[in-house]
Amino acid sequence: MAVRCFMHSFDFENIYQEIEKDFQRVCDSEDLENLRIKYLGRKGLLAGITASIPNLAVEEKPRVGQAVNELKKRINSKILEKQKELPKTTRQAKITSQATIASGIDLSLPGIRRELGHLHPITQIMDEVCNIFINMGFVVYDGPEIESEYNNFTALNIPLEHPSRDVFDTFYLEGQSVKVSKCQGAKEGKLLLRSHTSPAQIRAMKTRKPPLAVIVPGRVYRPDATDASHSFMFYQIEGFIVDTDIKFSDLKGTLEFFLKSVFGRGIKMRFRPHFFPFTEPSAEVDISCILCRRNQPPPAGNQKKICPVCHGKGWLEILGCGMIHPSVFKHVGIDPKRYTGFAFGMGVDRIAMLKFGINDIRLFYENDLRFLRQF
Amino acid sequence: MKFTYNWLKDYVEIKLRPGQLADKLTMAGLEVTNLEKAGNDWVFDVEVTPNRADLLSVIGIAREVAAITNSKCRAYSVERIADSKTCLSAKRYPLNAKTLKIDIEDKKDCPFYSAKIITDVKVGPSPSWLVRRLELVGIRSVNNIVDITNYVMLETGQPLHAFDLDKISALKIVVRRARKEEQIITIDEVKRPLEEDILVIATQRPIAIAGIMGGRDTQIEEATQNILLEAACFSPLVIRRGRKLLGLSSESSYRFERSIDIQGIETASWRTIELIRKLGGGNLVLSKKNSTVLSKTKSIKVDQDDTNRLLGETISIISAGRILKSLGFKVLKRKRTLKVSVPSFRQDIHTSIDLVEEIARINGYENIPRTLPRIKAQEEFSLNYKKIRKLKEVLVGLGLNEAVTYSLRSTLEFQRFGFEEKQSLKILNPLSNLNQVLSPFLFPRLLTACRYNFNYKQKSIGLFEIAKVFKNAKPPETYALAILLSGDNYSVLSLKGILEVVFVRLGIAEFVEILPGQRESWADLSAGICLKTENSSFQCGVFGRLKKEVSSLFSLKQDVFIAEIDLEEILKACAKAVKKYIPLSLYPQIEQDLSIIVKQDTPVGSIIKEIKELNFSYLVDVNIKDLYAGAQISSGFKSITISFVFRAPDHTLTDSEIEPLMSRIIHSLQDKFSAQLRT
Repeated sequence: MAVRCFMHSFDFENIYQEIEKDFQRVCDSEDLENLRIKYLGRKGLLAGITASIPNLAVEEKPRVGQAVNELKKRINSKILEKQKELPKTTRQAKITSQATIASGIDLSLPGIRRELGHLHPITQIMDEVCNIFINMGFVVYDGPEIESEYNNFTALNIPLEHPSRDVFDTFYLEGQSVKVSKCQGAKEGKLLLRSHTSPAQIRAMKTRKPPLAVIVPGRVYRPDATDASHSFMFYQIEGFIVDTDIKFSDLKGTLEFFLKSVFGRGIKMRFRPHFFPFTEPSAEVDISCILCRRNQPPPAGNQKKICPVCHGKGWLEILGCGMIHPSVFKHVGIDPKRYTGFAFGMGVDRIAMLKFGINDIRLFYENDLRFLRQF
Repeated sequence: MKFTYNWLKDYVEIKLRPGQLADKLTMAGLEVTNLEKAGNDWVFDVEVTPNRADLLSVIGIAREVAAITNSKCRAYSVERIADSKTCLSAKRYPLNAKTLKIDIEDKKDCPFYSAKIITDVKVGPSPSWLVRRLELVGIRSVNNIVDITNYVMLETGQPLHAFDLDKISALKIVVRRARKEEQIITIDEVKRPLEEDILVIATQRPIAIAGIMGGRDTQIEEATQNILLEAACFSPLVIRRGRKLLGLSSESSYRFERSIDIQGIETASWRTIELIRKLGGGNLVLSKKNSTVLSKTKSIKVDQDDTNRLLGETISIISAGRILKSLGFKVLKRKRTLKVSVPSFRQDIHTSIDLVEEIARINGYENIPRTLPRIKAQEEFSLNYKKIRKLKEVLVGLGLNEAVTYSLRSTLEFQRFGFEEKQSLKILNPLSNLNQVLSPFLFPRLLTACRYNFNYKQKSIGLFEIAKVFKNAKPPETYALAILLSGDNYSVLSLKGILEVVFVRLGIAEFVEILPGQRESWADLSAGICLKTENSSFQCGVFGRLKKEVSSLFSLKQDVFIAEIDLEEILKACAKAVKKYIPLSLYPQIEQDLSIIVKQDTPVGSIIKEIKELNFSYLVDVNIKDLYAGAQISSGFKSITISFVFRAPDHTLTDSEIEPLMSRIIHSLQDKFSAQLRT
């Protein structure tokens, strides 16, 4: 609107004053560019004036033409001047820097931090799991990693030289043995690296009489060739309860409470019959897949999109459990007629992998700071 | 174990679609790990747990299916095999029962052995249905006879073996342990040396490794006419040992190891004969066994109340009885108790608890309710877990990252640090050189992690680990803490500072003493960490700077600072830590500075120690304010500015009270360290 007004009057002095004011208000390169367009642009003020020259009186033409050239020069030099003045900042920074100047402190600078370190993701998951059980009234028991063959196998009702031992490949210690009072043969006393946390059951039950509600977190070892899902060292958490009236339904309720606490209320849980020598009845526990959230296998043949977490099964095997076998009680001197109990065990690495979306177990033991700092 | 849908249907009526059946099996404890369509049939792959040898057969699975789906299993028995006893015809072969001798060296190794002889058999390719069924479950067709033995094994769970009778040199079968230096070429064309722990079937020499694999020289070939069929029971332990010694396992050894149903052997054998006569013709001329199988039936009582109390659900005695019957148990109901006879194929059932599981399993675990147990309050077993968790929290608060490293290490790493062989705990059966020995220290493990991170261009590395370390001593495993600092902004004093904060936070600072000058083979600058008890002080850790020779082994160019602390005693000391309130003084404190010049080599720590040992009760704090050497100070000397804080609990201190104290301090420093006052 102002432009049109200028076009009719061609009061160049006035126009120049207007330009001066405009340039004073310029704060950043964006403002400057807007002014350049306003005056020098294809549809700008000067273009407008120039376009009207042919319609002017003959005597007016040279004067206006000259004035336009003069104006163009002035505006260009103003722009160059301003460009030098302007710091290379954006509008946002400009606002901040105004505030900065006011107090003398640049709040846009990064804060002065005291970086904390990071707990290992395995520790974080162990905490989470243990705390759920501690809140229910369990206490922590810390068993040794070097175990006797008796505690790791025999007392847990896993006979020597039996196929049920095949799933428990075990590292043995060279030339080490202990005398175990209840052992049946020399071999029983061999020392090994515990292949599961279950021997801690034996130790805890021998140390203390029921009632017991115990949780055992710790390292276990199995001679498995290392790959994305196997490691010769990993973590397990074992838990068990012994009292006069412990039922299989208690096991279901306890584990459901636990699994929903860890994986969210939305998950489904199922108990599948299974075999463990130290529990009877035994079960494996699955949860509905936390990624694809289906809990039914896909119709056979239709396996186009296979979920990378559950491989299309819809279920994830998460732990093993059962009612403590009477012969385990006999080994530790607890009367199976009076007491019952349940026990369960789970792999911490697996839970951590599921929860954090980690696809290679080896990452836990490489200690890459870029990895550790993510947790 | 693989089987097909149609094969299963031979023995049980199934109304469910394969997918539904797979779900049902999984939920009954027979986990279907794979289900695939193959033409007009479906192949199931199931995971059979080691207790359920009976499920390593199509008939066994059919029985299970019948129980789950409430239908009937049409398994055959000896009586139902039409051919069985009537087909013996001793004609045209110069044999009678006396001619074949079966000699069992030890009945423990082989409780039962049966042999049948069929003459004039026509060996050739199997019919296509047989080839296909075997193929679907992953077994290659060889010829009709071998295929039949495999087929019957899959069907009944009883491994069988057929010998070419004419290649057996004498008609005497001996089941015995192999002798030293005997060997055999097995059907896979491998020459295998035998040992005394291995059981063999022999004539004059071994012709088969019992229960594991047959010999090449007596195998069934196109030209074979007369066959000796073996059906036997071998000791699971012996088969297992043999399998391990030979490193050779087979479908047969897998079943024997899990122990077979001794009562079913003859049935399987007759079934084989039936199929051989059907597909290869021939005459059965002889059937002989070393003994009769005694049928001893286990009988177990299971009580309704006990069952329901253990499960926490209500299953009536009638339902329980029906479930057990459907699984093949014989059941007698007496009031609230069932008297159950266990069929011979269920060798996993020993006591009532096993029956409770069967009842719960078939009734469905999903029908058991969910309850929460009442957990009684208990005392802690040990506070270690909590203390260690707190310690980790403090270390993380100090900016360190928690590492978790393998406790098993290579011998090479072990040797690099000059650890004594004697103190090491070695692994008898390492998997690779990465897990040969249990590590006695944590810091070499952190060094590996440190190098890894420098390789990934990290500038600053602060790591710690709390884990067990292992020594050939008593106790063999102890908790340890290691800290590693390297890179930007770290010095050996940053490490010392971290340790000091840790000890304060654990509440044990007053028990801990840091003694510089401790010699460590891996360090060029180190100090011992001592824990004082009532009457003694012993070293529980060390910290320092890694020697260049050692860091170069890990290709580390930067200085590396390391602490390694035995946590066992520290954790014990934590128990003694008591927090106690000291009343806050109402009176002002007076601060005074003192600048002195001492010889460059005077340890500042000993100056502070000296001042503290004066034991002035008003002196509440001593700090080093400034440390300077250079211009204005003669070379070989340094200037120290010490600040003192004085305060009395019960009055305002005056200069006249403090002056004598300051002058005693100055005197003492002049005396001990030839200190000069700096003016």
